[in-house]
Amino acid sequence: MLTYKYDGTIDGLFTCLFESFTNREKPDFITADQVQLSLDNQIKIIQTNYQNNKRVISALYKYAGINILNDVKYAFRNGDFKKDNKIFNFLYKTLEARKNIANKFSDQAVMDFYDTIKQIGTEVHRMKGFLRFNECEGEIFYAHFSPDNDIADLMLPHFITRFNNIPFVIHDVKRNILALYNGSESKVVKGTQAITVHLTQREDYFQSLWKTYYNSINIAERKNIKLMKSFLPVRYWEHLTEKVTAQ
Amino acid sequence: MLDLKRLQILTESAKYDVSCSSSGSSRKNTKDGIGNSHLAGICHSFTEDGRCISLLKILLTNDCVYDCQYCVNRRSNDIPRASASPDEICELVMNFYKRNYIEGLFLSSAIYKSPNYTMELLLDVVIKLRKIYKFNGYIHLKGIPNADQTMIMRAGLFVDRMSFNIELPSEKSLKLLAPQKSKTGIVIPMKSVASEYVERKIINKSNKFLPAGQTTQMIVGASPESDGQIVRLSQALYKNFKLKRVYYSAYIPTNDNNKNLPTTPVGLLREHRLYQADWLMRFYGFSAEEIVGENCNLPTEIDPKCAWALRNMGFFPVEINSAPPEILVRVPGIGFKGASKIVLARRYGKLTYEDLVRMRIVLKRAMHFITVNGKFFGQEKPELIAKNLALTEQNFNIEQLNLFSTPTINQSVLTGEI
Repeated sequence: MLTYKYDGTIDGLFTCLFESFTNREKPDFITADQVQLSLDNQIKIIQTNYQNNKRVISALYKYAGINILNDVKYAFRNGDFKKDNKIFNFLYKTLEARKNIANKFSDQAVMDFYDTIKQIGTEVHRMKGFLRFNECEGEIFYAHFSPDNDIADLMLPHFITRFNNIPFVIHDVKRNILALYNGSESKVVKGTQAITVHLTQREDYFQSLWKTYYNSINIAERKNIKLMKSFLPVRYWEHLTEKVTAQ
Repeated sequence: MLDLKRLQILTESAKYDVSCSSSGSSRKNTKDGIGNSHLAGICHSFTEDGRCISLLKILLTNDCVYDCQYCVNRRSNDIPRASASPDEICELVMNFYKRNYIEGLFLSSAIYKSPNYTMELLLDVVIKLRKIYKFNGYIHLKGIPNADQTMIMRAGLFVDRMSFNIELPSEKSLKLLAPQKSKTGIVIPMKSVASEYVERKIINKSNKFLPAGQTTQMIVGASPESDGQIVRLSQALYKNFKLKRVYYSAYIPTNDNNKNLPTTPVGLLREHRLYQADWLMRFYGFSAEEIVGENCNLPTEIDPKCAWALRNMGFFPVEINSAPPEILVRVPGIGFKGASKIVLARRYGKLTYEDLVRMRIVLKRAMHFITVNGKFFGQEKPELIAKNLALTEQNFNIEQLNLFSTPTINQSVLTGEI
């Protein structure tokens, strides 16, 4: 089995493609994480080479269209550990076919890439509903979540338009990324240390109002937990006010 | 500020009105306002019964002068009564909205004193919310039948969606169960709102009157009408009133010994089938006549699309690699996404059965109705198809078997003998 280890960036991935085609080989596995050496596993370390990448990129533009670079950047947000493989396989097959295969859904590599992109968009849409803001001292609203994919900055446009002049912070606790908005401008930063949040006094009251509402609107005679969980995956519950039991 | 107790009372009184989508409006924010509307709607949470929470669904008051027998808020029912002031509602909406709990407000009310008095109160809340609190999110307002026409039209300028509940599928049932309501009282405002909506859409491209249109609701299982009648009624409502949605609410009994109403909730599966039929009409171009006979009920074991396919076997099988998309969507197991994937993918070469599996077409159903490159993989006899498909749908009453459920299994587990 042939494994490529690369640096996890888009440019690194393009170099992997270059290596693969130049050496006429197709790696079974591509990863940026630690790789375990084993008897039947051949590992190649790929050093990013910007010069070689130029040829790969121009070929991709030619076959896969002008949006391919943006699509690949978007696909990289996916949190699946197999995403490198999925993206690589799709690009490999595109270069191999020498034409645009984005609609060839009969091919597993195409379906996988399509799903990779789809999952990100679906989560962004869901999070527009599932983000819960808490009112903090200084009239700032703070929301925390752990999305599967790296989408904190994608949440900004929607909430900026909606909340207008209200400053807010969206905190991806898994990756420690903060999307900030001060009422007029926005910024995305990587958190460096733990954050303390001071809630206002009435925040607790509004949270109880919401919990009361959530419990009252339920029709017990139609209980269907399975259905609820299919719409509201359990892994999101720790960040939902109504699902967090008394703290 | 609204207290917890009153919030609970007013929410519990409102929960049986099932329509709660926040879609259909792309209302923009204003320079000094808060909020906007997302065209596709956003689901903020889900209750334990599996339904989506998108809006703050609440009654202004549950103190009703009417005595509709199916309603939990009827005058003769002994439940706690409460009211909220317009400011209390507005404050609650703004604070929930800022915390991203909701997309907006779904406001209804019991009939307090009179229809006009109630409608005026509702109008007051809505205008306050827009003008004073500067709220630009979604508002769905219930229309009060028999209220003054001018108030109803005025409301349309401030809200995104309005609805008047048809309540029951026939005038006869309405007279029996809700004698204070009348068919004309409900239908007249629906008609005027509909014509105003259509007229404005033609003249004015950016429609500021009811951008998300009109909907209605009827209770299913409280009265003896057949599914055939209900589906035909829905078709007529969509055609004549240009409604966006018809909602079906399975009747949930509310503490009574009423001989006119069933005592247990019977309509849940039936409600599900009606929604499936409704989808076929709105998206798949089926007519009510194709879906179900006038005095018949929808079959419970299979969905309406499969049922139609089995009644029209002469239409099938269709060839995956050549059939046009309008034909492909008529195949059970193939929806719009599946049909479009097939049409796009087959340009690269003839599709095989394995390709369809990869594309996640529901072959369990589709295989009986398609050929792939001329080959047929399904069941030849129609009666047996129904049996096959029905079995896979039966997940409502299946009980999880226990390892030790019978003596023979019990024994086998202990001894290891099969």
